[in-house]
Amino acid sequence: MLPGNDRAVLEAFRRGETSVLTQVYRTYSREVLRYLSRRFAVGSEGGTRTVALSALDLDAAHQETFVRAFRPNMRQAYDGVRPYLGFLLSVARSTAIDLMRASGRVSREAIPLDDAPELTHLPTEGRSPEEEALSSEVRDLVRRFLETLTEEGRALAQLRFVEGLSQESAAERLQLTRGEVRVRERRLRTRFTEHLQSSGWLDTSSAPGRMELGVLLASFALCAIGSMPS
Amino acid sequence: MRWYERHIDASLPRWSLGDLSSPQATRLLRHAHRCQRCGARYERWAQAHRGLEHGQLDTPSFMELQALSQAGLEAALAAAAPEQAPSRWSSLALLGGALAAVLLAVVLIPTTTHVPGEFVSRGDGTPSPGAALRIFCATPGQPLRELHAGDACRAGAMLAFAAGGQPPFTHVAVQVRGVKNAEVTAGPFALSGGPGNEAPLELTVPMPEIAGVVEVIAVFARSPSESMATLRGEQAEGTVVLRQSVRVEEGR
Repeated sequence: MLPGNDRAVLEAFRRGETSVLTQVYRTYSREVLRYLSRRFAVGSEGGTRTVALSALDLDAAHQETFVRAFRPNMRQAYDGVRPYLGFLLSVARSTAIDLMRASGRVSREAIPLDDAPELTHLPTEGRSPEEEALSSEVRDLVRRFLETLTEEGRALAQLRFVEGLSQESAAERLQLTRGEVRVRERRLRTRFTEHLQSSGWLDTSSAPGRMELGVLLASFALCAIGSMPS
Repeated sequence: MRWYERHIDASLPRWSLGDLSSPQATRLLRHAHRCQRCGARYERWAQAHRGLEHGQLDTPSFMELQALSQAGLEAALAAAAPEQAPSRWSSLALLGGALAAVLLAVVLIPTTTHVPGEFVSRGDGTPSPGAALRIFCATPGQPLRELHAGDACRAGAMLAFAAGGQPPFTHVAVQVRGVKNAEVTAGPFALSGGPGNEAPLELTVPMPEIAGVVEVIAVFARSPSESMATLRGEQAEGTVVLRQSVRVEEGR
């Protein structure tokens, strides 16, 4: 429960010691990313719906979460009693909603349903038709890639990606060494990137509306650079 | 794509393999946010990998988690820096102090900005200006070659850079100007060593495809913002500006 599990660590965290902040960041970064990649239920006059951050929004929200959480006033605000992850995720949630409001993904009046339990009885819209279409396109892209693989390649993809086994477990199941699995997985990933390039998957017009968040992140980056000690 | 444009295409395959270093991941993401074309490409790339690994688009892929996690630390640590305490001086006293400081600076401190013909920090008996930039020509199939004044690099080859600076210089920004007003600006980069102990910069610039001359400008400054301001021509006081021309040879 960094940084609250040790008084000395908590004090060092509040002072902003780089080593402790780095440790906290490394401990929770992936948890925050997983949390931010969920779909957020938001309610407004038009009803409720779920919205997810795009891949680039995810980066912006993740970075901004830690930027906010590591500011001196926020470090002082953490009491060291509650689990820090819960504290961090509440910052992450408000950051995500702020970003979606700023980008126009949700209206300025929209509120996260976590803040308004009375709205949860309303029917919630799931994915938009555009999201459904994109999912279908990606599934088709992956299916066509898997069809180009040998039986062994497909088995490796199944174990590592679909079933989420570690390289050690996958090696055991495939009766290979871990080194062999590592090499084969690298080859498989390389072939997938070649497939993406040759299939024309990347050659699409830019999605409109992405730039607003780009500008936001650029602002965050500039703020961060501006606040760096020279 | 014009010669000076630097997009994320070459980095994406390395992203997929988990081969990007932390600064490289940061650069990729910053560029993707600024560049509409690359932003869209990054989205498509990430979606495809999510589809491959999870069969759906709401869960980041392993490599995506890795790259995002690597990229955010620097900004988070920068945010942790203590905020400046508000001054208790009256604004009048502050203004007077600032005017006196400016007057003293004008009278006592000569500008350190200079524009030598070539970077002169290396070599026997050469006085060090406290800042050095080294330029290299990387041609496929050939060893890396350092470029001195008047040297040429083949069209289509890559320029690479190393920089070093002594205090008070902490950052360098680099601009490469080509033909037809084409230019690329990169940095600011933090300086990690002094002249004679230059560290490579996370920057490579492709040479133009046609013969001509490319000018490299490096601004060494006491802060990231100062180096960029000098490059933009807004400020020069207290910075060191180095320039070097590189001839572009027709490829053989």
